[in-house]
Amino acid sequence: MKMLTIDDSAVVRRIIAAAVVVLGHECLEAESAQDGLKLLEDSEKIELIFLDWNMPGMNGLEFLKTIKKDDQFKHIPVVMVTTENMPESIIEAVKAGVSQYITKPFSIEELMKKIIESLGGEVNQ
Amino acid sequence: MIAENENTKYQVIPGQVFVAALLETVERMSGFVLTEVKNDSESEPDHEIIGAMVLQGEKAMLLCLETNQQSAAPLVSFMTGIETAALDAELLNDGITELINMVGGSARAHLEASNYKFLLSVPFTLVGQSIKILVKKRTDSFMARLVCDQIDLSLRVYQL
Amino acid sequence: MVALSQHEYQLFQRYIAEKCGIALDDSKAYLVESRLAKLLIDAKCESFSDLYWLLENNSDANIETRVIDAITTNETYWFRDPGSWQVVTNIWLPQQLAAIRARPGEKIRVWSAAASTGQEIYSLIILISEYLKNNQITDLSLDDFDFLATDISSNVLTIARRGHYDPITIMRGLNAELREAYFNHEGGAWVLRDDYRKRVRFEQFNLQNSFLFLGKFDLVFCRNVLIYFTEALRRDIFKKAAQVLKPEAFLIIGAAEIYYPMDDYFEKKITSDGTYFTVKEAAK
Repeated sequence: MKMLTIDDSAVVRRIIAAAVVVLGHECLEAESAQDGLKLLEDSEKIELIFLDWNMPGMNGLEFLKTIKKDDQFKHIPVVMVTTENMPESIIEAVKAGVSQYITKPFSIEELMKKIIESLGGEVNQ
Repeated sequence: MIAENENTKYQVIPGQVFVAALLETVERMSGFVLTEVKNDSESEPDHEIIGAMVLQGEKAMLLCLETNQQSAAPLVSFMTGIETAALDAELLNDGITELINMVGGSARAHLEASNYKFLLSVPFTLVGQSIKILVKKRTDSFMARLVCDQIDLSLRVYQL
Repeated sequence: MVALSQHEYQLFQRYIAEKCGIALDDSKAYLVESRLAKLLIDAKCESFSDLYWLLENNSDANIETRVIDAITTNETYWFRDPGSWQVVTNIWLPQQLAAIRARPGEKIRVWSAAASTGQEIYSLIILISEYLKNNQITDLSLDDFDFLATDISSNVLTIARRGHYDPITIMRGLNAELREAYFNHEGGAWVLRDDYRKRVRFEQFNLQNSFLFLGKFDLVFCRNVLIYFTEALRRDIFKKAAQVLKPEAFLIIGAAEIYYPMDDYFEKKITSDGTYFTVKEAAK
């Protein structure tokens, strides 16, 4: 399965990619929401997106709202991975259609748990 | 640079909230458990990487995580799974900056509960040999030194 | 604003203590608030009052497990708390090996009660295997042991059962020599060899349930999980643990954990290697 992480931090992208790969999937990386949109359009089927909220340029919430309006991409589950930890932010993201929410700092176990949850408990063997 | 003995006498900066946030962040992201040690400026290493962000509220604060390559390497290595020898400067800087970003975020959650409200700036990085942040002499500040094995970090908060 | 009001927080606090046995600390309200907010996503609710209504009307049987799962995030490392591994190597293992020679055919039974992603139980298997090798013991092997590992979260067990570890996880507490000896490097993952991985039975288990059908054990690890529970549930867990420990068995909890109700059931043994507990005569 192909997944995409959008985060301006290379370290965070690296952590997410490590978790995705160990679960038997492939991970594309984008360092901005704009690059993320481009990758979505150019790549074959991406099935899960990890999204940072605060990024220079288009922010994660704007990215989320953009893809949720697009028939081609609106079904892709989005996992928000962000330092935005206030309940009102989380609820705002839920209303915008996020399917999982991870607050930074996170442990890699927590991240893997959320990936498995997003895939309905299935992993590649 | 303000004199070391003036550093911790101010009560206004909720320094321990930032220390707790840093301990939690480093443990969750890297597995290292830091210990706060008494700082003596003599033994404080020269700093080469400073991750920083501004907390803008009724009063503004500058939050800094100051360290060097030798400390950043094992930290970022354990965060990313990349052997220390294979880490480049860009990843080290990014790792330290991302840590301070997370510290700011968790500290804000703590502080909002006690009615401090503020906005967080984007995090930024200062790099170079023996770098320091200089603020006006009478500025309130807080400093904590945290270590684990070869990792040596200074957390500084300045009231702007 | 959708933040939790004081009143709502107390309602959740009471509910979660009753149903899940988890004590929500007032000083950590901010943390709990954001964890609960994340539960809104799982439960597909848009507000805290919706979530509370859902919980009260119990229309979702799994919600208790999810609450526990959301609140107890447990980081695991290889050979976490060195003292407990020294106890196992220097005291427990020699005793058990001597005992099993006296009653051949039986197995030394171990339970990792909050197994998370498997590092604890796999660390033990690596440790036993190294011990047998280093002491040139050939009359006994890993076949003389039976390993059970349980957790409330089926998702972490999925990770544990697979035995695939990412480059970040594999680094934490495991030296390169052991890594090379026990794992195969496949693509981006370090995979525990089947001879070791397949020895563990992983099962989803809630510590609120009865322990009796699990059988009796010679070693139980219950580390860094009790901290989340209410006094009442902790006491209940100690009582149940005392019932499933054999007379010579060891109970190991986290290095930083201290619980006074334990004294009713266990004898605390402080050694130069580390601390462990055995069942008190009266509690058997």
